[in-house]
Amino acid sequence: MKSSRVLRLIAAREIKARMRNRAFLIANAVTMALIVGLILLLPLLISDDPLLLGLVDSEEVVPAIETVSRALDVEVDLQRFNSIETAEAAIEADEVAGVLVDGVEFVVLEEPSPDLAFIVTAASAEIRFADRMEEAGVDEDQAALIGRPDQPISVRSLMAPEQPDEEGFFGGQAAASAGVVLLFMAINLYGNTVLTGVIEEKTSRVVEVVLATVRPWQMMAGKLLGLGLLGLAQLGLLIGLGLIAATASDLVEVTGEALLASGWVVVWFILGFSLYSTVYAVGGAMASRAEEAQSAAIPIALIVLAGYFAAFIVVLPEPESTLSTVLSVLPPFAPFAMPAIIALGKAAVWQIVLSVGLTVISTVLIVRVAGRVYAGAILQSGERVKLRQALRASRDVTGN
Amino acid sequence: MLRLDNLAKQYGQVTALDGVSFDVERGNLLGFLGPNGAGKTTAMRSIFGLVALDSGQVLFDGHQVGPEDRLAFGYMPEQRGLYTSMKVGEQLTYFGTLHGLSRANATKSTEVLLEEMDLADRIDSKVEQLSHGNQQRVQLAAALVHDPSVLVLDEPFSGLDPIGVTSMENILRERAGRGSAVMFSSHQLDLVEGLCDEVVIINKGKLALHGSMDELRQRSDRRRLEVALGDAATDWTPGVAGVEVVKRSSNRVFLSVPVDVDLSAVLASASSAGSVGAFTFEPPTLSQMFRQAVGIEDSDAIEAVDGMGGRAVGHQ
Repeated sequence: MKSSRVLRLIAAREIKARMRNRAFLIANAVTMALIVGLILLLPLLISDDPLLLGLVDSEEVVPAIETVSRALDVEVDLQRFNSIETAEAAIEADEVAGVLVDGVEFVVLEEPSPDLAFIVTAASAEIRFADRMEEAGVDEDQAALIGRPDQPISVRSLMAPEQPDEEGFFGGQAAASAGVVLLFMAINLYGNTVLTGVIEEKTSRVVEVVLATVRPWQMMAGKLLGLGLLGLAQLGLLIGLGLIAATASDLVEVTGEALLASGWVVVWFILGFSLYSTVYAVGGAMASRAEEAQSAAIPIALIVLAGYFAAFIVVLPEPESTLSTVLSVLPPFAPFAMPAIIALGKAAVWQIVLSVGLTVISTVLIVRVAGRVYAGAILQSGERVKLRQALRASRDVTGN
Repeated sequence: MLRLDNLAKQYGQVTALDGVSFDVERGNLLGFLGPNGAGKTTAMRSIFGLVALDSGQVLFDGHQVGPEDRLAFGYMPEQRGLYTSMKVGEQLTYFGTLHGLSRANATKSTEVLLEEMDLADRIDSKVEQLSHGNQQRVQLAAALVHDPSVLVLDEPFSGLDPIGVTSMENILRERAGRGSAVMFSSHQLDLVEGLCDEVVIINKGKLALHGSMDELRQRSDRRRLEVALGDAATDWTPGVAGVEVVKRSSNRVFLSVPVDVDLSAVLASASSAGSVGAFTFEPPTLSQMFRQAVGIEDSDAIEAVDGMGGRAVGHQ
């Protein structure tokens, strides 16, 4: 029978088994809901809703408030009240954030919000300035001459301002961070699924039945293929939902660059999962009991974590530093460092080529060793298998 | 025909197999015997490429067995294993397709097999929901679903109740009758004696005895002699060369004698000790041949061997 058919059968079983597993489905549904919810909630947290200001006998201040709020680029909704009592009731009912009384008194519930306090103070000051000028017998034109500078302040920047959000959410730090977090979650989650799956097969001893007709490398590769595809589908779904939610919430415009950066996250999931999952499979094959899953996962999780933190601590703040460049091509770190640099738009073509190349080469090397260790360890029962034992035992298994 | 040809395997200091050779013919039912640690499991695993032999090879119809041949082999390992949270029907279909059946054929074969095994109503149950006995039957079904031409079972009778034993015997007989080459290991010698056409006994990695049951009985240089002797049974000694007392009961003496023993001398000795109620001369049982082949003579060891039946103890 062709290997491709064997791999397809094993992969299909893996996928079906997970799709039937309620715990797996619930965990994934919760993750998806969290991420979509977060994206939908984000605009509310950084909202630019109009400020709600109440007025009692302060009609003369209205033009000044409008001038100041326009200058600050803040929208202010005004509400008129007939009496202080009704206005205060509105404050307590949270219908307005504060009420200006007679143009001089500003009533709030506890503390005034800085924006609103500034607008009210500035507007009120301008009115009082105009009043005093009139009292002093200065006419309107003269007052304007005294009260307002004839030239607006000119602004000179020492540094070019950063281009915030103009090129879209996915061009910036946020996108790069989101990409790294997603990759970490996906690789970690599916790596652990591989590990526990292998331990299950080993401890339930079904492995010997399967290996009577399937070669060890096929068994391992089929499992990784199935779970990898499942991970890919989930990642694609997450990114798709993320992009849709982001568009729907008007958070950002989904640009071509956003799609390209998403595409790179998917590519790096494939590379990163291929690199790490074989190690997870070997970790599972060397464990002897389900309780050892944790301790088997720790050394691998530490390497994955190191890559994850390196991306956050070193690469994201300074994507163009020498250390970042080194991390981006070094296989254990590349799956997190490289997509971050790509998302930040700071990746050179040679860097991407080298990074992908080195990751692929080391994956091939690891798969070769891993195949042998897996074959040697998976049939050993009894206590936990040590790496050297597994390599030695691999010579006791024909592998065909 | 499956041929195990001069198999040798060393695990560190332990010799698991040391030049074992024998054939399993199509349509034959071969019992594979030996004390714990004799190398039975290693030999059976080597048929499926689960053991890299130091030397020797496993041949099928004259060529070395490879992955393509194994598609048509069925294996029930000593340590049973199934996907516990998978449904019975799906699981059997899966193993069928892994052995090269199309999905449709695997599904059909699963249904037929479960019907035969009286498990049709459990097709959609998860394996973990079945009783121990039913799990064993599903395990057997997993080895049979692709209608294998070679069937290898490691301790198929261990842990079965008497009904399970009978049903297992019937299935093995039926498979051999359909032309499969069937071999299985067991410690239940009485059962093997009644079931098998052919027996192989190995000891310490070496072939100790091999032949058809009839052939072995004929070939054996020992016979069983049972003498009913009333009260005299407790202290009668035959006093004939080569005659050994195996066991005594309150009124009977069980002897192991050379095939060319002078029976009249034994009978005369017995008659002089008491009144002989019965005098039965028989070919040896498999159990006796086994003891002789693996070199156990004293009665303590006999009990030890008899006690092994049905207990699953680890092999390498």
